[in-house]
Amino acid sequence: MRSVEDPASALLVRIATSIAANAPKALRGRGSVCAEAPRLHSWSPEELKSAQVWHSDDGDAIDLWCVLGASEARSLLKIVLQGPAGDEPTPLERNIVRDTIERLLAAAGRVWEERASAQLPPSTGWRCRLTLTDALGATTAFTLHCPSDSRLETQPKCVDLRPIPVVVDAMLPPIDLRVDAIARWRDGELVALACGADAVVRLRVGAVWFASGSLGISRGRRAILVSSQA
Amino acid sequence: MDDSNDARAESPYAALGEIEVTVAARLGGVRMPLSAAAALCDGSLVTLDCAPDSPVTLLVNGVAIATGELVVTDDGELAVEISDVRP
Repeated sequence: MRSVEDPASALLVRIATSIAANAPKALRGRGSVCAEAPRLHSWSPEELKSAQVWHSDDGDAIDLWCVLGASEARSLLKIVLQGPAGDEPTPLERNIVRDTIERLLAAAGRVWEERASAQLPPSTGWRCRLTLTDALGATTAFTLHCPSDSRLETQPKCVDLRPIPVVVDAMLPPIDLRVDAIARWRDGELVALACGADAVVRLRVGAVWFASGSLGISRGRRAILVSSQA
Repeated sequence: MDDSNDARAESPYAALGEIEVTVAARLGGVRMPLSAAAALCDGSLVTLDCAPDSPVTLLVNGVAIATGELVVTDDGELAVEISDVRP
């Protein structure tokens, strides 16, 4: 069984929450929206018959859909028009419905485009039902859908390495010396480093060199001003 | 007996005396989160956990062998005046 922490499910919750929060403004104070918890669902051809469908893919390969069934569209029209709507919507009525849904969806901060309902993937996906209620208690609903094979589901959780402590060492340029010269080192011996006071100091973590700079002093301590990265 | 023979007589590493090894001077270090190390860029200042006159460590092939004071010679070159040789 899938966990409720599925990323696609979490994404739907986030978007549904934004839509619900923005709904009173989108509906010009004439209604509100509340969202149900996402659940897995497969759309049947009957459910999609005459449904209006919107798709959103902001180039991030996250496949999001919004589905408004035919009967829910009629209910929405009644709420918006504050009166009865016919069984078959006119082009004008369909535009009113489209405009209302798109104003609601805009809160998600994504680009939505109306599509043919046949384009909705038939595979099982997460569905989040949003119920719209007007001031008189009339209701309708629309549904957000995210296929369970969305790219989100394949992304593994990342390990957060940011707080891991490392020791950065500051090193002067290395020199090659013979073993017999080193064997003669004694206290007071001067070991020339073959570089000047302006030598490039390299920074390393473990055996990895990752930056370099110049030696100086800051706040009473030795310091390196970084000038390049590996 | 010439100089090289003298050196050979003094050193237990006589047979390997001509081998070259890498000597590096470690100025100091600082502990920081990986994110801070990864964020270092041109102009960043890395303040080490040591005073400007702290001893530096001489490493031979990565192993600390001696410590000493960082000095500038009359030629303007950096050098380490050894103050403590690891036995």
